[in-house]
Amino acid sequence: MDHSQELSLERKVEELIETRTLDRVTLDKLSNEELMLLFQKDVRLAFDILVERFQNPLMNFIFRFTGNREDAADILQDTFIRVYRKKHLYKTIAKFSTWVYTIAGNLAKSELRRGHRKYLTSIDRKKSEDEEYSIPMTDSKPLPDRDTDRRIVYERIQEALLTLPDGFREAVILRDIQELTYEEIAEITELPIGTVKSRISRGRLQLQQLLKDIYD
Amino acid sequence: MPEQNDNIARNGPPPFDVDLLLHDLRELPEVAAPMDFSEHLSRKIEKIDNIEGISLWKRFFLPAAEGGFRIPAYAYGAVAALAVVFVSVYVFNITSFEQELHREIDPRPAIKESETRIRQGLDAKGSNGDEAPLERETPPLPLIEESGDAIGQTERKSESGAGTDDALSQGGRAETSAPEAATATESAEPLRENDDQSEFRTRGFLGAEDALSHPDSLLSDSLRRADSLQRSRIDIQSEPEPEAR
Repeated sequence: MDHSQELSLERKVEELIETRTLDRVTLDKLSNEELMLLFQKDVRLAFDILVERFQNPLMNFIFRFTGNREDAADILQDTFIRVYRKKHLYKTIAKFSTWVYTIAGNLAKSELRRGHRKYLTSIDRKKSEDEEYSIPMTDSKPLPDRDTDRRIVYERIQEALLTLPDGFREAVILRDIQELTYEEIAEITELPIGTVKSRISRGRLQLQQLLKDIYD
Repeated sequence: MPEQNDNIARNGPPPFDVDLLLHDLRELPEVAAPMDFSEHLSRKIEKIDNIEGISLWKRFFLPAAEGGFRIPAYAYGAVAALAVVFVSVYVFNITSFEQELHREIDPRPAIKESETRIRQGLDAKGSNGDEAPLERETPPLPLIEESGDAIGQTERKSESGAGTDDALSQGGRAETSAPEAATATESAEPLRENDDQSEFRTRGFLGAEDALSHPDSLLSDSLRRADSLQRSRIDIQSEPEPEAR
């Protein structure tokens, strides 16, 4: 977002405030960045709309990252509270989506670091001992029927995702599940695009190795 | 938003291997936020707004969930340990142990003052013509008994023999002769100089010596000695004249 766009955004927000057309219908039509500008001017409704727009995609991202629904809900709440309290830190030069994903990603990583053993116990130990990516929990199960029991496949994918290193996991989730662009991922992770692409590629490779019994 | 440069076929049967994996990744069921998430968040935000009014120092003692600062316990411990170290170093730096020792050995100014007053009183009586020859007759006793006693004491070897004041302060058994007392009161400053030059020798039990050097015991000791000195003078005065006999 360049300077002229930023100025026009601010002008539009000013006009909205002056004309006092801050009803739900009008605000629903605004972009995320415009809503955030309005929220910075203490329009609470704008924040509520942003919550509605982002709660599900963020929940999905955090859940895929942590693998725990309750923790994901807590992190999601913390993310929006942080947005609420640190609204003055948001600059219109950045996209709101990348800003909020950065906050959620950082909180999820902190949570994982705090309760690392809770999430990655036996799987992580197995990796360090055998130097290969295998999931002992499902070894005894019969191979799932790809057409009839998708749920088991999804569970296996989720378990495999959790064994990836944080950086790889984040990049793969943002790209392949959340379907963000490389530029957006680079902005969220604060890494060069080359590094992002490399992480995605290596993450996928590891997933392939982990799930080879399904896809071979 | 999604880019098409990573050979993912969005429609139709996905190709084998990576594409199949990518297809499954995108097909993963979406996890939605809890149903009452918005309401719960609103309540939480209201609570936070209320907490904003709480003063800063109070928030140090509140849990993080209630708006307190999320400071781990070991941080408080580290700060407390640092404070203790700083205070210890400061106290160590400002304390002169030599001065402390002298202060403990020397009597309190009040004791010195009372002793001087008593001595002046004695001198005033001793200045009478009748008493002077009598006092001169009493043989001069050593400042400190050479034999000492069981508990031990600090002995002062004084070349000039003028160390009465200090001998009193030491709590040792010192018998002061009248001429020595007179000279001691006449010149306090030379006495002090002599004290500095004098040599200390310690013997006996240090614990008992410490007990003797305590200011309270010093006061009672010096008063007792002054009292007995006064009584002996009265006895001498009341003694009948040899001519009368």
